Amino acid sequence: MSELLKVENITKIYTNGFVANKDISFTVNANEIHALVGENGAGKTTLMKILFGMEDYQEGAIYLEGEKLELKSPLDAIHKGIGMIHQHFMLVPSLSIAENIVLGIEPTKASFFDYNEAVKITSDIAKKYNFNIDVTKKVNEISVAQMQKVEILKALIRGVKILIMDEPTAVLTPQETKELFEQLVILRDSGYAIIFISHKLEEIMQLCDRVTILRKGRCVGTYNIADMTEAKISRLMIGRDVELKFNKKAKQAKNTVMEIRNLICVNDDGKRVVDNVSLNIHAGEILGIVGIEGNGQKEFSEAICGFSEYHAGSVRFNGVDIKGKSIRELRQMGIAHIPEDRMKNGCAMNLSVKDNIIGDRYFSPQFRKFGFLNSKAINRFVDQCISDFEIACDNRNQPVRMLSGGNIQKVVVAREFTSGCKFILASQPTRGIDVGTTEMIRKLLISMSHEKDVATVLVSADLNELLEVSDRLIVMRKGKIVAAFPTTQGVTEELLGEYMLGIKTMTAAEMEDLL
Amino acid sequence: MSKTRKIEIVFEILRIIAALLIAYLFILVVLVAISDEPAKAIYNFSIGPFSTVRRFGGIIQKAIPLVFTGWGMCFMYAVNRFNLVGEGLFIMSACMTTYIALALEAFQLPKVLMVLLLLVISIILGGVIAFIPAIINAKLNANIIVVSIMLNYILLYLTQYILTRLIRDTEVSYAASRSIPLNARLEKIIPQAGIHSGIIIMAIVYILVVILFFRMPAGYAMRVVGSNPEYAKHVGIKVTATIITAQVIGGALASLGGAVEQLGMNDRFQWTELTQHGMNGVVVAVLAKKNPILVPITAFLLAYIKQGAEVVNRTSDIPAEFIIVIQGIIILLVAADSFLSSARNRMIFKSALSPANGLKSNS
Amino acid sequence: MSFSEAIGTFLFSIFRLSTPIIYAALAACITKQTGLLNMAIEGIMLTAALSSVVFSALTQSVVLGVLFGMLAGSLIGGIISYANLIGKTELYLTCIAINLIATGGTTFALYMITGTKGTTFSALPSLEVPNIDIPFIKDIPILGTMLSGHSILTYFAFVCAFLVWLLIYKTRLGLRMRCVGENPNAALSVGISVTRIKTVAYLISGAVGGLGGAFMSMSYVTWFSRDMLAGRGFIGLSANNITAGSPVGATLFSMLFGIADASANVLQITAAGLSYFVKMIPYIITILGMVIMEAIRIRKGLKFKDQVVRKAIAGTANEKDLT
Repeated sequence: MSELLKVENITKIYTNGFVANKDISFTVNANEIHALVGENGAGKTTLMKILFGMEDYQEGAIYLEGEKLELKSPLDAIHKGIGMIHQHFMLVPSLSIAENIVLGIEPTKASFFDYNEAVKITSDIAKKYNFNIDVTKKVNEISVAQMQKVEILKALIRGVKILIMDEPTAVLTPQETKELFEQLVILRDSGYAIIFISHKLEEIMQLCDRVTILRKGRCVGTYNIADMTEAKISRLMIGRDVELKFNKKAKQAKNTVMEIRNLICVNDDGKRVVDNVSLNIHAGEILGIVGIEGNGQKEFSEAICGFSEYHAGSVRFNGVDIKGKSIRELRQMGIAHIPEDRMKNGCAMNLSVKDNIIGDRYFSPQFRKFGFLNSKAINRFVDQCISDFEIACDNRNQPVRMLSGGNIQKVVVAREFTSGCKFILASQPTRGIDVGTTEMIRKLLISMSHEKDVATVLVSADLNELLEVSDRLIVMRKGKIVAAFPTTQGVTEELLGEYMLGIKTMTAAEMEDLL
Repeated sequence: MSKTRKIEIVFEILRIIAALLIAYLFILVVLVAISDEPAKAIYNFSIGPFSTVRRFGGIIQKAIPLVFTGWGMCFMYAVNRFNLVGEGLFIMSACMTTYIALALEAFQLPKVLMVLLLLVISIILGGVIAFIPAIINAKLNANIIVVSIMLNYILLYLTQYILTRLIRDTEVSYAASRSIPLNARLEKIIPQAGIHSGIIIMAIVYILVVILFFRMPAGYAMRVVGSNPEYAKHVGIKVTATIITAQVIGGALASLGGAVEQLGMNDRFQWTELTQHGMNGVVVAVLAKKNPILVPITAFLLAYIKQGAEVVNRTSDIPAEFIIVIQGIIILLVAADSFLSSARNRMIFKSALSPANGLKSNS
Repeated sequence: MSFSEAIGTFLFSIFRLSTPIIYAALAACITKQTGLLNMAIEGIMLTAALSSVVFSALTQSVVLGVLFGMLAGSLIGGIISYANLIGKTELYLTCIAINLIATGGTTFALYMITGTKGTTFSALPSLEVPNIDIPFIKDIPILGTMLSGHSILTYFAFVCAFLVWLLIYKTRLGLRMRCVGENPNAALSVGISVTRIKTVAYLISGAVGGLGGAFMSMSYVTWFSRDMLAGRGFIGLSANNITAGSPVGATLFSMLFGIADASANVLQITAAGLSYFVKMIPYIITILGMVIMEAIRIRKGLKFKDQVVRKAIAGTANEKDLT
């Protein structure tokens, strides 16, 4: 096997001083599928962006077939033969597949764009690699798996030798995943190198030849898959055997806090993204919502918090219908919400820690004096939060954007958990943050609900988290509840997976008393 | 304070100073290039404004309206709305206060009452008119710059209608209103420098504005909405209402500026075109980084440049219009995120890589 | 003047008054395709107008005058894209700054060249872009008066609309522009430089705006005066906003504003006492046009969503409740 790509001591620091990659070195061979694994925030995405010329770096070098690369832009990377299939597809929805594929290398006739020629060359290459797609279709009319094929074709038509794939199976069904793997093996055997980024260790064991493991921005090492087991890889990824087990008291049935009846949310395309969901949520319990992303969990959870609208059904919070209530009213009634994307709506990045903690209560009498903001009371409260939640910041006036991801999340959590809420929605509360903070947030969720009787809904992509933290679970698929478990006892990730993928479905009768 | 933060603040200040220096150098180069007597022009421009009490007073006179329009833009800019209606409001307010002062002339109201009444009217007028583009933009998502500039033309023609049809002094040959009654004028408190009591009004409003912006719940909401509207919505702040309120306050301040300028500086209303005060307000607010506390300083700086240009204009053949160009350049430099940013980033990298600082945990 | 002649003259003035607005709208349309709002068209056109006058007088060539107008427009477009894309200045502030620089700069330059601040009228007479009489058509009553005898630049405005349409929908650059506007990441992923495409769009937009400026100072009138655009750049921009970036639609809406302008002119003659109110008409119409069109668009969107929701909910009624 010949060495194709060599990465040597790459260090990348972002302008906020955050070190995303430190001294990373590894090699990729031709005829190889090379896995790149690491926890969220371990620096995989940054590293890939560097390899694809989307980010610059401060130290280190990249060699392709012995030649040192200076990648200033993705164009450079593509010219040198490095292609990338992004997690979020880089396609223009209103253009046809053919137009999308030839973008940047468009055929022309008499200096006008030659659409017919574009169709011809794209369908030729699709046939050559056995991709079954109609290139005249518009991208907004095709399935996700087909979009992925378009992305791969985009790279192939440009003659890349190395294909970087960022979590390609995250959006696919099992059948589609199988098809993709077959295609990738064909590509590998015809001389391509594939860098395969994934969380799913069993996929890596099944598909890849070697694996490079990243941890906290550093490279742990490169190993032959043949020598590894899933457990070994996971230990190297996390650095220690984390057994996030919590002592949970047995749950007693308490009064219903949130009563959801026949809830329907419709998206702009007229699809029912939440489809007739009925559910009771009780005080003192943590309800975990399981599901592959994009199956309505987001819309469902935002609707019951009043953050987005629902179109039929009812949501009653402590007996009061929430329809038409403003977010402030709902918050004052006791609904709190840790949003999925802390950068987008969890925080104002340019404002201080203080301003971010008092966001939902700056107007309350507690923080006001003669109509003015009472700085003393606010500062006292914020400082208390900073010490209670162990927020690592210089002082309360530091802008939030200067903090690390985990500490930003602590600011969000400090605000939401001190709001005196009776119901809390935690959407992906530990996504992309360090183990320590993760542990802290999980413990807090449990103590809030079990000691302070807060009704909690946990939406997470992390099955392990759902199983560890939740008291009971529901599985959502295509906007419906397809399974419900009264306890996490005896529930395994594999079982949940079968419901998430639609291999199994519970009947309404089976779930009758569980919702 | 962390090193990164310190570096950022230092570079932020450096950037504003560098932008002003570049603009200043640019002016000097222009003066040298086009003046018959470059040395005299440079002297007049840079030292001229400080050479006599009257000229120095001129800086203060010019700064007062800029402070008001600058504050106005701070509020608009705080919620990220570049509502330029301040330009039209300034002239409209000056015109309306003149009109009302003349209409009330017969009542012989006491001065304090008369002035107060006129100022309150100008505030209300500004708020009401600024509400129009604000609501159109908020509810219909129409481009705020287009709407406010169209509105400025409408306001300009409205003032010209009032001037020529309702308050024109037929005794003079040029287009000017009748003389503003004495009980409506702001007293000159330092006559030798031509400084009027508008500066006292400014001081009072300064306190109110700073309290509103930093110490009142409404001001807090504006800052949050401006910083991240999605976050504001998430924590239950009424985003649309806050955005509109900020613009109404901004309009009221710009309008108040127009009234103060008119009652303090002019005997008659005789403007026949837009005065640029509103656009100057944009420069003042950008230089102050939308912080109303800094507005008086940045207004003073701009007023100094304007006064310098006026001295040059009066003593030589160079038109004062190049000052408008300078303002554009200042905006571009101060607002350019990448201006000096590579130097800043290099320092941040260096401090992050230095062993003493250690590596931040990757999370 | 006979009645039919008066009608013809009125219709003629619609085309004449629409011309600068069409150029402005097309200029806006081009950058809009790449996802950027060109709010500095006013400044672009103003600079171009001065440049045209000066260079036509200097070179005594109409063609060079117009070309230098376009060049000046492109130069301003280039400055905007440099400030916005390389300098990372907020687009709104960039455009405000550019408009300021154009306002001050043209007045300053005017004074330096001619010694007056008002117009170039006497000091620097501009050449005029020739008007063309269309054979046969010019003899038809009303239609002849309306369509014949316009400046070449007026006829070219409509040609330009077609060219912009070709550019956007039929060329490689147009495809890339639309891609950049719709999903810049897609462009980036195939190595299309977003900055370069946007810069090119600004340069072309500046040139088109420059034609509008040249029309103002070499055809509409044959001199430059300060603030002679009087908001036409912004009116064109709003014509483009209203039609959401289609060159044909933008042209038609510009004509609508042309009608408002022409009507205002007629009214100004008949209703002398209210001349200032008449002068407001184009601006009021612009605001109203934006308000009405956006209101219709929003209402349509709501109605559509409402229908979609109804349909989706009605669908469940027939379906077996799975939960």
